[in-house]
Amino acid sequence: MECIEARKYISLYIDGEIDDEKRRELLEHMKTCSECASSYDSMKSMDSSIKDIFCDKKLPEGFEEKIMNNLPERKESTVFHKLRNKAKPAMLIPVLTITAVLIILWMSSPSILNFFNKKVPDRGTGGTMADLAAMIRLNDVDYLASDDVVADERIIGGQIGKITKSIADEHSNTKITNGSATILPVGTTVYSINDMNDAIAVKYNGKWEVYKKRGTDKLRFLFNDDYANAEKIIISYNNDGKESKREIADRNTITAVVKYLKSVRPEDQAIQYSNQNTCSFYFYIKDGSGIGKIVPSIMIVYNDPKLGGYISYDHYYKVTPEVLKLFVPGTANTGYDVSMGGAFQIYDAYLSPKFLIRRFVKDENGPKAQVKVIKKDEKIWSDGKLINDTLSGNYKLMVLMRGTTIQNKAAEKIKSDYKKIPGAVSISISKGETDDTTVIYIGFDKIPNYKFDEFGESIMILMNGSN
Amino acid sequence: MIDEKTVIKKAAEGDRDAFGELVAVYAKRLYGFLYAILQDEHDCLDIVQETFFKAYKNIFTFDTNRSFVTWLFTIAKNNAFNYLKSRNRNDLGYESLDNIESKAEGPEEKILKKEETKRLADAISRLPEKYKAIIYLKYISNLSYREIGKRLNIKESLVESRIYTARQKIASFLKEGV
Repeated sequence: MECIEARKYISLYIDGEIDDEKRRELLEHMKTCSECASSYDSMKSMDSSIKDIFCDKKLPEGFEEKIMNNLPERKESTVFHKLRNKAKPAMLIPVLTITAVLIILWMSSPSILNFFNKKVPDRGTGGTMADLAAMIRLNDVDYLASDDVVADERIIGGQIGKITKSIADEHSNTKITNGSATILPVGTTVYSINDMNDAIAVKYNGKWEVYKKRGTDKLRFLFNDDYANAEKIIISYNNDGKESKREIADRNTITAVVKYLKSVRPEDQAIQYSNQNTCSFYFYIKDGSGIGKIVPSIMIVYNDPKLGGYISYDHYYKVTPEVLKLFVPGTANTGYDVSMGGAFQIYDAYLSPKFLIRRFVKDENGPKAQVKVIKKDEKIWSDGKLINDTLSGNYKLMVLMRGTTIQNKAAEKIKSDYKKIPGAVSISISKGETDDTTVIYIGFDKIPNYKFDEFGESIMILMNGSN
Repeated sequence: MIDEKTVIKKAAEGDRDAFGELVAVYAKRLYGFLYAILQDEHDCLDIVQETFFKAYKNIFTFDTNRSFVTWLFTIAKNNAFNYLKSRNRNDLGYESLDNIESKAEGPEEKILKKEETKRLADAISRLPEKYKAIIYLKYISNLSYREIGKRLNIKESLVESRIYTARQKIASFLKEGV
């Protein structure tokens, strides 16, 4: 057993999750390796210290009852019953998306944002333990996995090396040396690519992957004349793990798509759909000798083709429903639930041309904000009062912001400005579960005139940029 | 407890008994955790009470797709650190518990041990959520890798590597603090 492996098994050994064979191997190894043995000692001592922290401590007699008796009272009012009996939950459906957008629009206007005390999320300091992206180190150069496509195998050059060390995800405090790769298995052959110095290719799971020299992987690509002259556009769809392909070879369509892509500008704003659909496409462009070039694979993210979506490369570009239809024929999916995902990512896009969503960020501790529609028949208590009763309007929207405090003056300003949100009839602002959590409720009488098929019960919205 | 999610949903709808179940499960554990940080029984009991009070008031804001124990202990930790801040006039910020003098008296070694415990609690609270959730589920809920995987809907092998990484991170936080 090697030290790298041993370190991993020490953790399993301490937790009693190791199998007999590995345990024997580990114990053997530690007999001869003093470093691993001392690593075991310190991990074991940390383990028992953590156990000390999280051990139960006997509460004084009757303390749990005291906790319960101390909780705020909740009294259900008759008004609530009336509302509940009338409620038709399904009617609520469209309100969420639109109002969430409006609120974000409203909250993110600079004048309002200035009032928020923005906090930079504590990201910790991972040191060498940052999660590594897919990479290869070869001849002292780091290559990162790219989205580029090998459209034509004939572009692959000769063998230039082999992966000699594979570093599993999250065990990344291992030293990276020439021949190391984070994801690729040992023995993977690395190939050059003809006429490209900054990129290499490997075959992984039966598919060609392009790795680009660190620093060159995010270069903006431009839709130049090559694209307009592309032989075809190849679109791939992934449905539950099954890949299917479609080609557009019609010259007029290709020209129209390129013209459109040339005309759109990258957006600063983004949204990600959690019930999202994606497909990707690339242009098959021949070089002088008739061989297909290495080209970027461009992702399209959408929820409902009728509403448009966005394409993502290193930036986000809005895609109109008309263009999207070229790539995504067929009907809309059901479900509309907007959710930001992925730590540290900034999504930039338009939800619709009309409503702008500004830059929101999720940090490692989860989403910074949450928006939830309070249905008519849903009991929501705050400070011992039913929100349904304390706020006017048939529908309520909760906006929960973590790591955000609103100073009194700002709260006053928001309270006087809330009518700028179309349809809003009432507002309340209060503190959430921690002192730096703010909960805003907004009441609406009518559902705004904006239609989506359906959506989930909550929207996560990422708040307040990290800088 | 049958299913925590269901209990939480009931509690969010105002079911006191459901909330009582959560108190029964977590109060002792919370008390132990706070005691590790504050070392004062009286203060800790106050904060246990305050934590459940805030949790009850805000339980409807809790997203049931996330870990309840992480949420609850975050409230407790914030309360504890706020308390420490107010106790020590000079604002220390929650990241440096090192300088906070322990109220408890005793032999030097005992105090040193307590300082270590505080630093460790601080280090754990600084972990990114995905690691913190696993540490909490392992140590607070005493779940096996398999059960943690089920709870978080991730593969057992990922639980394995996250626990490993979490420990590495804690160790490096502790090192930084020295």
